[in-house]
Amino acid sequence: MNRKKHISKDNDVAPKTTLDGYRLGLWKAINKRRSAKWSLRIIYLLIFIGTFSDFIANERPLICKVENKIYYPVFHEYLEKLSIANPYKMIQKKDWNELAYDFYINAPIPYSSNSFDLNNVYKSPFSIQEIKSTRYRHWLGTSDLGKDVFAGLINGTRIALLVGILSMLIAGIIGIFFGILAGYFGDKLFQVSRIRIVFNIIGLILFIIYGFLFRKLAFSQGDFTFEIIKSIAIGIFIMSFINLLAFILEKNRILGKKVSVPMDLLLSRMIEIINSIPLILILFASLSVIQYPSIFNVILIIGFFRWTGIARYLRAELLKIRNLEYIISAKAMGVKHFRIIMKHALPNAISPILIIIAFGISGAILVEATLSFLGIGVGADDMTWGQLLSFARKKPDAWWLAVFPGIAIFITVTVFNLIGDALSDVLRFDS
Amino acid sequence: MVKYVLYRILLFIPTLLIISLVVFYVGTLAPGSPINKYCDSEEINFENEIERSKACQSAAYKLGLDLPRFYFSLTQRAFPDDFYKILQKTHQNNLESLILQYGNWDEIEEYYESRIRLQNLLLKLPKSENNDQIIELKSLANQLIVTSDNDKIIKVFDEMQSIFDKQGSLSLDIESEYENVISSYGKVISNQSIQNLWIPKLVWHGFNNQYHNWISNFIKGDFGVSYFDGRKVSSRIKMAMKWTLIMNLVAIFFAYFISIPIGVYSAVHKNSLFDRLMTIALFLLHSLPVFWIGTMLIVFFTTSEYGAWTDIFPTGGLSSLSSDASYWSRFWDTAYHLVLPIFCITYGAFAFITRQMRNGMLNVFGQQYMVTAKAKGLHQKEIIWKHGFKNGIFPLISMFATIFPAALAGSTVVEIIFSIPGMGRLAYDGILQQDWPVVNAILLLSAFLTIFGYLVADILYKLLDPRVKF
Repeated sequence: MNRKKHISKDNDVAPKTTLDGYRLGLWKAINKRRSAKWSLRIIYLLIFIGTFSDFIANERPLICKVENKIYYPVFHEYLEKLSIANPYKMIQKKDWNELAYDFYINAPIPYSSNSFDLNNVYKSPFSIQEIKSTRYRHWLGTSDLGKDVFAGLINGTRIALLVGILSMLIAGIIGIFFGILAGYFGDKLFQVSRIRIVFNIIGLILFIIYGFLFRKLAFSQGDFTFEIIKSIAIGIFIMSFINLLAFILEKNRILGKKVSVPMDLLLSRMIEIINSIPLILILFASLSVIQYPSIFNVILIIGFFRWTGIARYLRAELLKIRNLEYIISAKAMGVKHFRIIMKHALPNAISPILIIIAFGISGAILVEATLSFLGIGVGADDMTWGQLLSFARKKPDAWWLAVFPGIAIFITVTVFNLIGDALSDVLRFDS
Repeated sequence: MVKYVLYRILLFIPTLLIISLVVFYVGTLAPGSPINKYCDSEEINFENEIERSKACQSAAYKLGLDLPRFYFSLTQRAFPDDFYKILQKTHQNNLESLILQYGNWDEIEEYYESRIRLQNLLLKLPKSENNDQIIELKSLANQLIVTSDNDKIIKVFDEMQSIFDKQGSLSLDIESEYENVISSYGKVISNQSIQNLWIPKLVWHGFNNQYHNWISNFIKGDFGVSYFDGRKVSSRIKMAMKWTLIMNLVAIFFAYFISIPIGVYSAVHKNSLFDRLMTIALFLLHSLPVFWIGTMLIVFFTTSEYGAWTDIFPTGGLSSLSSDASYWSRFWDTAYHLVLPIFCITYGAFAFITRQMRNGMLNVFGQQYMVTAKAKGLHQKEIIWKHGFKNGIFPLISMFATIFPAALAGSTVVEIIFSIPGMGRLAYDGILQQDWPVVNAILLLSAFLTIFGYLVADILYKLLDPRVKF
C-alpha cells in the first residue's frame, strides 16, 4: 500500500467526522438550556429586524399607486442609494405623506428614523398627538424634530448588529491569525530564512509609505473606511510581491539560512501595549481625528482594538494542544505546519473562541452605544440607540427617550451575554 | 523574585515607548492645528497678513509647535525638508494639496511667495483708497491663498483681471505683482514633476523636536501646557485625579464590602434559592449599560416631573454651595452630589466582584484540603473563613491592584453624564477641544499605571500565595 496516500486519507476523514459530531453536540447542549434557547430566538428576531428594517419602519409606502402607475418606493430607495436609479419626480418638493395616492400600503411603522414630524415634537407615547389617524401614531413617542422613537429603535437594531458582528469578525480574523502565530509556533518554531525577514521588514515599511503616508490626500478627501480597505489591498499586493521575491532568493544558501522568530514574545508585547491603553479613550481620540464620521469607522476601530482577547485565548489553547500526542505524531509523520494547524490544532482550539466572540459582540454593541451616546463617531443619517438615549440627557423630562432605547440595548447585550455564558458552561470554561 | 521584577520593569521601557509613539501620533493626525486659535481663525482680525503670521510664529514658539514633530520625517521627495516651518494650517493645507497635484516645490514656493506679496501689497493700501473693487480684490487674493483646484484658480485670475481692466488707477506694484503670480502659477503648471510624489524621502531633523521635548519633559514629570487655557497639564490632572480617586475608592470599597459576603454566602449555599436568584440578578446587573442607568437616574430622580418626591438628587456637578460656606456643609453637599455617580460605578463593580468571589470560593471548595478540614471535624465557620476564604480571595486581591488604572479611565462615562470634573471628563473634553498635551498625558499615564498595576498584581499574588512560581 502507498504509505503517503494512506496518511493523507486518514487525516482528512478521521477528524472531520468527530468534529461534526462534536459541533452537533455543542449545538444540542446549548439548545437544552432554556435561557440560551430563548436568547437564540431573540437573536434571530433581532437579525430579522435588522435585515428588513427598511420594510418595517419607513416613511415611504411599500407599494403605492399614483396617477395610475404603480411604484415600489422602498425598493427604489435601495436603487437610489446605489445610484442606479434617480429619485422619483413626483416626490421632488413634497413629503411622502402629502402625495395623492390612489392606493398604498404603508410599512408597519410609517416613519423613517430621520423623518420629521414638526407637529409632534417630544411627544410622550401616552399624550395626545396631532396625527391623521391611529395608523400614524408614534407608539413610543418622538424625539427632537418629531423623529419617531420606534423607527429609530428599528434602525438602531441594524446598526447595533452590524457593529457587533462585523467588528468581532475583524477582531476574530486578526486575533485568530496572531493567536496561531504565537500559540502554535511559540518562540522557537517559527523559522524563516534571513532574506525573508529582511524583505518582510522592508515590505512593511513600503506598505506604510505607499499605503498610508503617500495617500494622505485620498484619506483626507475620500471615505475613511473605503480608503483603509484600499490601503490594505495595496499592502497585500506589496507583501505578496516581496514574499515571491524572497521565495526566489531563498534558494541561495547564505540568504536562505533559517532563523527563528520569537512570535510569542512579539505578540505578548503587542497585546500588552494594546491592553494598557484605555479602550474608550483611545476610541474617542482616534474617532475624533477622522473628519467624516461613519458607522464603519467605528466598526473598523473597535475591531482593530478588540482582537487581543481572542488572540490570548487561542494562544493559551494552542500552547496546550501543540504538545499533545496527536500533534506530535502528525509532525513526526511529516505533515506540514499549515496542514496541522488547519486540520488538527485549530478545530480543537476554536470553540473557546466562540465564547469570547459572543461576549465580544455584546461588548462591541455596548461600546458603540456609549460612543454614540456621547456623540462621537456617528454619521448624520443614521439613528442609533445610543443617540436616541442621548436625547434624554438634553431633555430629562422625556422618560420614553431614556427607557425604550435602554431596554433595546439591555436586551441585546444580555442575549449575547447569555449565549456566551451558555457556551462557557457547556465547554466547561469559566470566564 | 527580584530578578523577575527587574525583568518585567525592563520590559516596561519598550512597551511604554511604543505607547507614547502611538499616543503622540494620534494627536498629530488631528485635522486642526492648536495655533489656529491664536492667529488663524476668521474671528481674529489683524492689521495685515504680516501681523497674522507674526502672531502665528509667536504662538507656535510658545507652544513649541515651530519644531519638527519627530526625529525624522518620511515623506514624498516633492516636499521640502522644512515644510513644518509653514505654520498656518490653511497655508499648509493649500501648499500640501498643490504639491500633491504637481510635485514641484521650487515653482510652488515661488507662486506661494508671490501670492503673499500680492496680498500684503493690497493690505498696505491706505484705507482712504478702499472702494468696492479694492475690497473685492482683497477677498480674491485671500481666496487664492486657500485655493488649490486648477479651475477655481483660473476663475479667480479671470475675476482679478476684469477688475484690473475696469480700474486703471491701481499702483503699478500691484499689477506687476499680479502678473508675477500668474506667471509663477503658469510655471507650476508647466514644470510638473509628478514622479517626485512616488519617491520616498527620509529627512533627519535632530533631537530638538516636538516628540523628544514632550517625552523627555514627561519623564521629568513636566507634562507641558494645555493648548486650551495655557494652564499646566500636571495641575489640571492633579485636580481631576482627586475626584476620580475619591469616587472610585468609595465605590470600590462599597462594592467589596457588599460583594464579599454575598459571594461567599452564594458559594456556600450553592444552588439554593438565594444563589440562583443572585446569579440571575448579577447577570442582569452586569449587562446593564452604565450610561443607561446614569441617564435613567437623572431622568427619574433629579426632576420633579414625576411627582414631588422624585426630585431627590442634584442633576450633576460637584457642589451648589458657594465657597464661603463652612467646610462641613460643603463636604455634605459634595457627598450628596456624588451619591448617584458613585452608585453607578458601584453596581457594575459589585456584579463583577461577586461573581468572581463566588467562583473563587467554589474552586476552593473542590480542593482536597477542604475535605480534610471537614474530616478533622472543624467547625463550618472555621472551614469557610479560615481555609476557604483565605484561598478564594486571591483573585480579588490581585484585582485590587488594577484599580488605579481603572480609576483613571473606568469612570469616564459616569463623569461625563454627571459632569464631574474627573480624569475621564478631562480626557473627553481634551479630545473635543483638541487639547493634545492633556490627552496625551492622560493616555500615557493610564497606560503606565495599567502596566504597573499588572506587575503589582502579580507580585501580590506571589506574596500571598506561596504556591505561585514565576
